[in-house]
Amino acid sequence: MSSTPAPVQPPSVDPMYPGAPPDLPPAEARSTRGPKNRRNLLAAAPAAAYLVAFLVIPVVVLLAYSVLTAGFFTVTGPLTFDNYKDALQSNLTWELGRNSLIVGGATALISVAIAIPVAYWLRYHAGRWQMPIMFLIALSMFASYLVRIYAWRTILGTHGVLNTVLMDLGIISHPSSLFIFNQTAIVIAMVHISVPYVMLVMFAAFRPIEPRYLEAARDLGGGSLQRWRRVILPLIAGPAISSFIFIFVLASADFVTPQFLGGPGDAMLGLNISQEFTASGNWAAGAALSGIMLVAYGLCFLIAAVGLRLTGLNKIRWTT
Amino acid sequence: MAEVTQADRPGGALAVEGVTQRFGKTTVLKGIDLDIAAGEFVGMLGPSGCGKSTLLRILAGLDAPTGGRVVLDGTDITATPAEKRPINTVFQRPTLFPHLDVFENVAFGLRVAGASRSELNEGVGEALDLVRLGHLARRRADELSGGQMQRVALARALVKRPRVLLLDEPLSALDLKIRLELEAELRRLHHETGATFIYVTHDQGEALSMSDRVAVFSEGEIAQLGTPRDVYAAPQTSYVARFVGDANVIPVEVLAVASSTARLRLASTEAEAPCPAGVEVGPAQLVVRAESVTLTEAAGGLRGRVIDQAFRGTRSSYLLAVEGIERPLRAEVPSTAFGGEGVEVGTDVGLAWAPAAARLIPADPVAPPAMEAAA
Repeated sequence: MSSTPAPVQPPSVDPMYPGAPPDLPPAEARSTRGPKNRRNLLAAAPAAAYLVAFLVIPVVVLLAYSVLTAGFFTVTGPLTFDNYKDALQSNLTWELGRNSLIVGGATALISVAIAIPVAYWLRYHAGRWQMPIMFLIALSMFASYLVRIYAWRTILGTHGVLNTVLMDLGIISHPSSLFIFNQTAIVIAMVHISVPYVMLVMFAAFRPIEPRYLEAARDLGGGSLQRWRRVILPLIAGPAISSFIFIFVLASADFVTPQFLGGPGDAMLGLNISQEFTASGNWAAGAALSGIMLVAYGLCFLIAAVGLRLTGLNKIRWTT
Repeated sequence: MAEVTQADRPGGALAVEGVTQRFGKTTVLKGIDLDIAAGEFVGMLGPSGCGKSTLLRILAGLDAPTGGRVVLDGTDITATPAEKRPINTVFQRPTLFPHLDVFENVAFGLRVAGASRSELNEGVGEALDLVRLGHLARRRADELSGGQMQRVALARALVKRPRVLLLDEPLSALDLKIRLELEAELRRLHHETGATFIYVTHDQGEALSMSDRVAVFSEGEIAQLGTPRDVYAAPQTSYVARFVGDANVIPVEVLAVASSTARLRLASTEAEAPCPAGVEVGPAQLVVRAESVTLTEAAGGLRGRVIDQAFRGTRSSYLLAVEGIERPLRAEVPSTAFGGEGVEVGTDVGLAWAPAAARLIPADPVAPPAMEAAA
């Protein structure tokens, strides 16, 4: 790529080794300013347009709804914060929020915990099976979300596969209804749906960690536990935490799975929002709940981002 | 840290006993026997694919051999995993941990061993001083030059006070200038630490200049083991003669052996050469280094036609086609010869060398290993 030479600070020379190549200035100083930046700005335009159309405008509309007075399937003036006050004072909000937190947290945690060892195995031990298996994992994402939820219903249901097998084995004498219509069933189905996504991300996270890094750690006396603790986990922390938040957001806001696999007390915030917008016609209340969730998710992201930045794990700069 | 301790000598004595390595149907090491003395600097020289790096990985404990034993100071360590061996490695690429700065990279080996804070600071400080990088302790790997990265990798290995340090072509990715600097650095570190150094390289210059002894590898075997001078001056096979110093290897016919001198037929001429023990009348090979060959304008004797020539400063090199010899011969003569004008391509010249500069070796058992294919 041709570019106008930009002014950079003169490289310093290592005083102990005047013959050595000059020390490079820190990466921050190396980034160039000037005409190149304007071109970068232009290149960012499609992404910016996308964000405005699909993130900024909907969020602004949503936030506008949340501070207007509720009508029936409409919102009108005047501006008010009552929607937020009502939502935060309602016991239902907190109960559903707790369910969202449990289901979202458990789903995200289990998904990441499954994906990491599988991705590790794929990266270092699968050999020629690596790509076929990755393909099968990607293929499993092609099955419809609803089909997979129904599949779990036929597995976990009172007359489902699990009960039949357990009865045939003589472990139980009557069909058990313990497997379905509870949070465990919701989490099982959501983990099933989420794991392939996390696996793709984690596999990509392992890719730059060439075996030689683990060999160097071994050579320096690092046993298996130390290699995980001091090399692998820090190097995959960014993608792992990102996947956790991604799945947490998707799972905790889900309003379909609880309806099919959950019990009466297992609804989550997403279901409530959906009902405010459809059944109750209280758009302002739904928008305020959405606003609260947006803030909560924003906080999660912020905590993760600050944590990664403080530990310096937000940007791993690979050298050859 | 070290299971084998011998406080008085830092370097470990390593014995490789009949080590073989097979990957599927490919035999990479065909039974290596090698005794390395405590504190020795041994170079393992050979083209890529000759098995030298495979052996190094076995010594490091990163791969298990198919057969044979590795013995360190009398203790069989063949089954000891890499993380428990008092042996550390500097790899071809520095392989610094990208999430750690220079200090933490060097500290890695001490941290995993559970060192205290003061041990850590002292050890890392010492190791960084050893490679003269104390002032860069807080740099990240991507803020270092290639040579600096490799010096950090050295410090990271040396901080463990290894009894044996393995070096796997650590300079091959660096510029010539940095390479020469680090060569001197390595000799100094070997002297200062007293550890046993095993240095794998395909560069004969590095192997000859640093090592106490050189093992020349060929297709999974040690073709010759000896001091650099020995291997250079007295190659035992045509493979070693060609790989170390790129000597001319000329097929000859030994006509008569008289005490220490042999009479030979060389192309269309007859010549004499010192005769080492074991040479009999019949086919043999004569090793003549390019720098031993002189070019003359005199008639008679061995003659060849210049087919290529290159001026290299103080010396000029020539490639000469000689009738009756399949491979062209190489000659390196002072550039001041022939009045400083050089010899043009296509000119017929006489070739000569002092009889003592030539070395007679047995004929290759079958076809000589093709250098082009090996490299």
